Amino acid sequence: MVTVVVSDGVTFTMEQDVAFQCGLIADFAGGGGDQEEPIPIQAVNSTVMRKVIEYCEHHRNDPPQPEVPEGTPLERKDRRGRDAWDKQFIQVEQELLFEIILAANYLNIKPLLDLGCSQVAEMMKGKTPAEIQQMFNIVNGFTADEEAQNGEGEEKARNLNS
Amino acid sequence: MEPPSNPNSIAYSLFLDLPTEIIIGILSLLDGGSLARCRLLSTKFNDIINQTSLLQYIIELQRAGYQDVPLSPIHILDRLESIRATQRAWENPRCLVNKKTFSLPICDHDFPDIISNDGVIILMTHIPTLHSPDTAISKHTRVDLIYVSDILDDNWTKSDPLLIESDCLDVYMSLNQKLMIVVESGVPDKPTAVHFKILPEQKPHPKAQHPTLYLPVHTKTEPRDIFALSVLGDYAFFGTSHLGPSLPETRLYHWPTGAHIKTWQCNDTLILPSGHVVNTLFDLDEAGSNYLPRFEVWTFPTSAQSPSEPTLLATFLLPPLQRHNPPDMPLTLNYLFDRYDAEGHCFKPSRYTMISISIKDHELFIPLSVFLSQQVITSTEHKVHPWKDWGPRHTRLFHSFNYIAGCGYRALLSDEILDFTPLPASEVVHTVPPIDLTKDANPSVPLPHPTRSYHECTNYTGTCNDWFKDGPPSLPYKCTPIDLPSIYVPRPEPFLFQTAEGPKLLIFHLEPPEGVLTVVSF
Repeated sequence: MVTVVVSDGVTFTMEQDVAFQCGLIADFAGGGGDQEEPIPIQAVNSTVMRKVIEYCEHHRNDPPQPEVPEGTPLERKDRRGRDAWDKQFIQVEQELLFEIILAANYLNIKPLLDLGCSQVAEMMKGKTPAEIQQMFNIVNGFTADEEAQNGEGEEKARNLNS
Repeated sequence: MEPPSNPNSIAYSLFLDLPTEIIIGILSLLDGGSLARCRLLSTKFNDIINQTSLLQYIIELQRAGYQDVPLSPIHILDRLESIRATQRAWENPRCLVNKKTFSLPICDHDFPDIISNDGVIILMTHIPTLHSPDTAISKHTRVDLIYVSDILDDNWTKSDPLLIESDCLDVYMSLNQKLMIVVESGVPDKPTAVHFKILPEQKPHPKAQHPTLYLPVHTKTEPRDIFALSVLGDYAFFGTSHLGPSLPETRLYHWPTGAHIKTWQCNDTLILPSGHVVNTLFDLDEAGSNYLPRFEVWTFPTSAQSPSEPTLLATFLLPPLQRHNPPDMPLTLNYLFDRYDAEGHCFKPSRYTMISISIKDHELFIPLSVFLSQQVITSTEHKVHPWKDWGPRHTRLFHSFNYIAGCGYRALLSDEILDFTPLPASEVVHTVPPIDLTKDANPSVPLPHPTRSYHECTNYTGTCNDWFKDGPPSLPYKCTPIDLPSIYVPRPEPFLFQTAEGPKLLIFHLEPPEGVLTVVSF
């Protein structure tokens, strides 16, 4: 068993094969054996950790992901596909979604990171820049000139769409 | 997923708060068009996209219309440079051309497809709508049909959009201007549907107005795929193949597409092993009043360990079709290299592998199609077997491979586009002979490969091995260089059409946020 303690002080205990899907925990726990001290995970809170553990428990029996050589573009495309469970799992509030992505990145859970990223990409597809800006609360920061230029293009795109 | 009901409740953008490498990871999952538009999101996005070669590559890839081979060992920077080199070449054509560009009334969700027959040219833009990743049924595609047959007069007509409940469809136009819309369900047990629409016709809901046929395709375990579909006159021809390996076969069908069709008349089935390309193509008879359609069956190498060139196995002749309103245009052959099996896997190379070849008075006009091929081609020699050294999945710019009826092979393999000189008629080593398509007729001129008559084909019940028991035929064509003024046409899918003023090319590309249509005259 592996025990972790997260930022808001909550302690989680899980079996080793669940915990070791997190690259960070696997590295921390080293060669195995039960940990006596809980592993501190300050960057993740208990809400997010619960989701992460739910994911890891579901995927505990998955075969390991094949290594994709570095420098190949679009490398994620051939990784683990999203199944129905994954899709349901990642249907969360936007704030939680980004926290899951950050946690997956911090804990080094590549498939979960991919899942989160592909969900965000899915949300962006087929949307206009203005819709994406509103969805993610993005302030563009362009100068007035750039703005006018962009606006022109967008306007054109919208007219063409209608 | 819907945006949060009150976006203002988020004080800052969680998205922008992500580490840059994760933002890049997310953006890299977008298609090139969406990615290009993300430059407009904010200065940060603009900077990230402009400074990341992977993202640049994705955009350039889509702008150029190329496909990528994800697992190629070729480094991203080399790929990007390859694409940019061809783009630069396009800006500096090597012969005198007149380029005329138009802004297309489309958005950049997708590149337009083009279909044309008998002088009518239709642009189609596919726009996925009602996007929801979780309910497949809510996926629709809007198809805009834009008539550009009068493009030379600087105007076009846009039809009412078709709304089709699928994001996977193909539209074909027959020679007498019927549209056939094939909606691939991609779902086991759900048949693939075919809709017909007669042009010119403008109705708001054509789906409800036109007969729907379901392909006689059983999809119990795996979805099948339609390929090599062609609509000629009152007939449509298509083959189906499996996406999975367990039922390796290809079926060829044809059936009449008359306005009152209600049932299938599709007894003519030929079963082939998978790993074949079936080209549907047609010639004109000597009088120019009939089309002479035929299938060509090609086989392709099935493993990298035993490379071999593609081989024409057989030709199946189909009944002649009367030409409706024949325009004063020279013959154009369309070669569909649509799907084939390489290394035992079905895959779709690209819609850009369709190559149009126009032949008039022994002059050839070949729009060069460029795509990132799955094959490595190392030979640049011109000989009868130019496809050599098939390797595993490398990416490489590959200019064109044409099999030219009557004139032999032509392979353009290097990054240099080759010059051509006109071929004297006396040196044409083989011309397509006039074919008597009456039942069981023996062609008066021997064909260069085994040919089965239509009757023979449709009554055939044996196996493929019996059919080809004499082994694949050799190709007696002689390759003779043919010259035309050369031009770099590196963008994919240039569409060639003939006018009284000579050949013109239609080329599309994306200049976000709009599409651009370029008409090239020579």
